[in-house]
Amino acid sequence: MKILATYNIKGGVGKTATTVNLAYLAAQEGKRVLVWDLDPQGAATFYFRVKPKIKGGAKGLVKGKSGVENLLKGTDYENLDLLPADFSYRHMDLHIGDAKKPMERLKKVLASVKDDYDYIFLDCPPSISLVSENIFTAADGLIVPIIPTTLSLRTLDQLMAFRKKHKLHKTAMLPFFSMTDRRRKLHRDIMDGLPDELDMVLKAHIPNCSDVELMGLKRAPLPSYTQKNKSAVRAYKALWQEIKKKL
Amino acid sequence: MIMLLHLGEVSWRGLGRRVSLGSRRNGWAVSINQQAVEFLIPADGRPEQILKNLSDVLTLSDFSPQAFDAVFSDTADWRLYRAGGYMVTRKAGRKIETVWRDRSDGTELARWAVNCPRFVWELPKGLGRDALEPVVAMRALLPMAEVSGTAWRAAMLNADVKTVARLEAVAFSDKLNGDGFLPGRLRLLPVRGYDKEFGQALAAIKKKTGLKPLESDPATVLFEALGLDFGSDPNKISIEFDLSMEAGVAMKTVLLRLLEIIEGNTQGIIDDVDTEFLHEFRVAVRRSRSALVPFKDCFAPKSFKRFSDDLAWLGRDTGDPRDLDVWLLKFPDYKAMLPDEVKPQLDPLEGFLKKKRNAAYAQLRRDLKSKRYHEFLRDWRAFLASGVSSDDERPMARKPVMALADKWIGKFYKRLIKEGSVIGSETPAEALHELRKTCKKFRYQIDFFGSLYPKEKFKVAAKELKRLQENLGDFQDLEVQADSLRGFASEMIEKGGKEGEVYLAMGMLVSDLLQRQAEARAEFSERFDRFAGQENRALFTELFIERNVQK
Repeated sequence: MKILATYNIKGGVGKTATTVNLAYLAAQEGKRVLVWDLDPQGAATFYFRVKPKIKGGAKGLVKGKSGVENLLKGTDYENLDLLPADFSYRHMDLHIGDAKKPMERLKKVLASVKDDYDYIFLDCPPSISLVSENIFTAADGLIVPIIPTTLSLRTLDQLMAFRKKHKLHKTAMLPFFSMTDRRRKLHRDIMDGLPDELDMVLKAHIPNCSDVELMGLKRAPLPSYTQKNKSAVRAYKALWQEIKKKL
Repeated sequence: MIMLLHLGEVSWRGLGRRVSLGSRRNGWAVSINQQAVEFLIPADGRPEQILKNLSDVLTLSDFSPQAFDAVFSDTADWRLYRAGGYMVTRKAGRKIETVWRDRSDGTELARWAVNCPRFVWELPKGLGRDALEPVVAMRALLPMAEVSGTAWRAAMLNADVKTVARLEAVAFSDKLNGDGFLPGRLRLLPVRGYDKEFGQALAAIKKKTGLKPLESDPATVLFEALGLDFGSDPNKISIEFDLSMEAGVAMKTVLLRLLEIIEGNTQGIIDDVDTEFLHEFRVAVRRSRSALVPFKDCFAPKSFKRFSDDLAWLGRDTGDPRDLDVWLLKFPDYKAMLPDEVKPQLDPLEGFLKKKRNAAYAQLRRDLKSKRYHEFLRDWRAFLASGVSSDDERPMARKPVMALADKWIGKFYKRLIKEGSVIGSETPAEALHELRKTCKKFRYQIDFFGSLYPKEKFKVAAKELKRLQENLGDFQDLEVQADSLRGFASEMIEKGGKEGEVYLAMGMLVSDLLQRQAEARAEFSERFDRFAGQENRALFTELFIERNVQK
């Protein structure tokens, strides 16, 4: 089982769309996939048309009182389950801080279901907090969508520094350019002139296009309702292939 | 079509643990999913109309007919079915999916978006494949039943237009074994975490349609309806003797059953379907040759000398191809015995073995298509089917089979104990090889006559024997393997092999194999002492000897 966390300190970078679409593609390949929507805003849960509520809330989950297997919801897609978001996740930090061995808490929560899945995707809330530190500890790969702007590259630098400080070398860093627009000079310059120290940025990038934006209206993963040959679908497929190779 | 593949996301909990289907299921922590339920649609029922009627009381998505083809796969010896599961590949439009299910409750054990491959290792990597591997092992997955038809699939939706259960109505276009068409099906499939909605759908079906649930699992119902001969191991001797059966008749029955197994595996070897066909063929040949030993008590040897020669010929000619199969099957294990940096150096050996195997199989194919082989099959069958009335028959042929069984089991048991007891740490390896042969002969006798003895005690005795056999097998096989490796190396050099490193890697393997052989030797006395120990001896004596004396 591999845990893949989609994360960025900033919001609005196409994080949830990435989680939902990659999880869908993995499930379509026949892999058993779980998405845990950790973001109290519950965007991934919304995409899957599930109610953003779990019995016992964040507290029950972190303390291990609510058996995770009883909280899972089947999505509309085969092989793809969801552990829904809950508004109480906004206090997740507090509960994790209270728990024993806080750094390993999220991993523990998943322990009872980890053998049932090939991939567990964590859709993480923005910001750096105890939750995100937990995610770094638990994840085998950190998928980081970045918009090609100067500021975003700084975010990536900060993340690398954080990883180094906390010695999280086992976690594969999987940054990629998201919401790209080749018509914009800035995007082109940044993507084409990436400094050597950022050569871990994946080759695949996801264009900014209306198809992806439509996901909110359709409440479904992009490849489930769009033609296979659309550029955005091809981009997500390429991204998934590249990520699998890096794991 | 068949919906054999339920669309439902059903629980796969516990799959990651590598255990047999039965015990795995018992280990589940909490079952939060209801299982799929299937209903039989009678011949005059209209599947589409049934769904339409249900949409009056349930919120269903649109549904339209879709043609499908479904192929049920299993190994030639029904390993999936016998382990409590079934596998079906369904094609509908451009979509293809292969699903492995538990027969007891329809739970989905694994799902792949590919056609069912011939071998399990050709499936995409993942938990599903990991779980399937120990069940199927090296056997090929073969199409066992094919059906086609039309399916109407509908999702039951909640207020958020989220799927909370699935319904599928199926009409088959296949003929029933007998008259008419296969009866249709209505399937209700759960979605994880929506138990309440599943219950509502179930209640609605019962109330609105009055359909009856299937009486058995969908695979069994279908195989029966198609009139298939399914679900049993074709290589099992499984003869239940009647205690009073005449020894001559009993022996002919055993040999006839073994001949069926030989015949049944022939085509699989010719077509090179998988390596088990040859393995089972060889086991049946060896067993037949062992059965000829007590057979001599019933019939004059000259009456079946020719068949005995033919069986010896088949035993000999299948030896090389089988050895090479084993080499190739175990190749990954041999590779794993080497240090990482040396592993790739062994690769030329694999290529060499594959070529050698192909040549050996080509020769074997010629043998199995030869006049001699076909005449053997024909004449041996005629001889065995002729009953016990020939002039060559001996007095033992008319005695109860029990007398023959006791005599030979007792004889081989005593020989086994005698040969084993004199083996010490200095005894030459040949003595252990001889003991292994005796062990095998003893084993085959108890295989033939097993049904004559009390089941439970017999099982314990067979298990103890197996432990000893494994040890002796390891001891000899490891030596043979080391010798073969030396032989392969000379052959490769003769053929102008230039990859010097491969010989180094093979040398390392030889020393590893011999080391293991020494370990097996060291373990022998412990295993034999246990086998020949008081408790066990009492068991064997009670089972095979005492009763003999009492008589």
